[in-house]
Amino acid sequence: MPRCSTASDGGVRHMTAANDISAAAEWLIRLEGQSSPEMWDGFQAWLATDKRHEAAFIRLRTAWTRCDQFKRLRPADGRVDRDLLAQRSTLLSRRQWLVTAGATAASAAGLGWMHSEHEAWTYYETSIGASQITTLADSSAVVLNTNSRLRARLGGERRDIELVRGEALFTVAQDTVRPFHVKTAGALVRALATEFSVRILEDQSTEVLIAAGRIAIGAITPGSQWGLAVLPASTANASAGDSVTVGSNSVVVKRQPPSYIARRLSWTSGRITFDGETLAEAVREFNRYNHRHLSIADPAIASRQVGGSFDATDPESFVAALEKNFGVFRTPAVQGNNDEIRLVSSERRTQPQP
Amino acid sequence: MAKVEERYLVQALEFEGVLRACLYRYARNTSDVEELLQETYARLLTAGASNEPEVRSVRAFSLTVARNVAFDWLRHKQVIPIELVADMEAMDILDERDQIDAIVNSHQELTMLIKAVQQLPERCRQVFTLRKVYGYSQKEIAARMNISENTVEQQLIKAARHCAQALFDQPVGERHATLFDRFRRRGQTHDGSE
Repeated sequence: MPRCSTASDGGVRHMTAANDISAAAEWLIRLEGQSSPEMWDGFQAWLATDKRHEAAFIRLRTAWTRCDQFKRLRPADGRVDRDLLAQRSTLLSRRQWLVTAGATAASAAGLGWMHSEHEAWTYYETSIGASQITTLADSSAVVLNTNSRLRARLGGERRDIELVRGEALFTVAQDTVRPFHVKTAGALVRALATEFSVRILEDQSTEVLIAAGRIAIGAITPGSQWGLAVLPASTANASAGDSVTVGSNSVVVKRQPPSYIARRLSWTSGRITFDGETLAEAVREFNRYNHRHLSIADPAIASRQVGGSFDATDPESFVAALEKNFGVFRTPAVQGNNDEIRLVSSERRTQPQP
Repeated sequence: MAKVEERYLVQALEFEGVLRACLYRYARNTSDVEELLQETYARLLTAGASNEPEVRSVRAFSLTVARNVAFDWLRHKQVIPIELVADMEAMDILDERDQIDAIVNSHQELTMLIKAVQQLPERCRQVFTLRKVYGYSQKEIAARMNISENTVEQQLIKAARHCAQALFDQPVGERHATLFDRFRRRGQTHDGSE
């Protein structure tokens, strides 16, 4: 049975700390094993003897509870290996407990398991006009926008996402043990529990919109490896309502008006919403989602402002709205070319097109 | 699981190394430091149960408690402490990075624990693995490994102590590198003996 420490003399006692700790550990484990009412009474009596007993017990119990995170390492295949934590095993590279759930068509097609130096990546990809919602094994949700590609690697220490192309929204499940990183060619975002989107723009800069929570973000040298992917010295913090643009040598955080982020993220429900964007910007945006491209055949209308919410994969409805409300028209379809809708101003509507 | 009166103590565990370093300035003897640390924890537990206004910085408060424990002990030994004011200054500086550290450190914890468990003797490590990775009961572990339940218990006790050490008693410079660097620099400035 646990030993009692020496009685208190009101000051600091000597040579009892080690005993207190070992007694606390004994009680902790014994009570976890088979506890009887008698044992419980004995425990209570021990606790009541000295406040230091209780303190030592709480310390041990806190550590022991923390050790519950070891269950993360349990292999997904149900196999029991009592030497799982033996030094010989390169534990962090064990594939068994890596995240295997949520593998997509991309991985089924053979793109899936690729081994980096330690852990395996799972790839996710969408085609033009498509969108895909994936729940990662940590319960984080990823919504992949049109024509996008990313890979995910969830290990015991960290959760890494690499956006290769396009745009994605991340709703990050809280996990204080494993920070959530999203990397693009030029930027690295670190988050705990947040919601934010990351998009690779045409000029290869990275745009991040924060819908909830906070992130840390920084520019990184293109081609930085994950192993070295600590946030660089020039970092910024951003929180809900901010947009961040990371260029080759700059990080710009901008506080946006209240509805801006929600509007910009309306693609997650299949829509594109404009509020004063130029026609040129709107056309570029539509073209991300459709094989049938819009083009501006009349420079005079490029900077005309447009507004409204449209089905991202239905450029016809957008063109109809342009014709009705914005004085912009389509030219008659050129024979045999259904891939492009050319837009002109009303004045040039009837003029012959080259 | 943790009761409300335990909050100061439980938070203080996160910087046990800082408290230990603080106490070491007075005691300079590992076993005395252990005694003073346990007394500090006991007082934090008592403080958590009191009706005093909520402490704003648990780190600063814990360091104050630790110093008081050390003063009591020194008084008892009739040794007059020197450099007290300087020490107070050094401690207050430790406060700033509280939150940053919590974020930076949290993700390293499992890795650190894995390393700690790897150091355990084979049987102890196996019993621990079956308990904490696979969630078997002590009885199940005994049956599985064909050893007595008492042996399982002894191994888990050893493992629990080891993990608590690993979690809370960080060598200077590992988990709280920044804090400790500053602390030690201060220490050197004042007594030149670290």
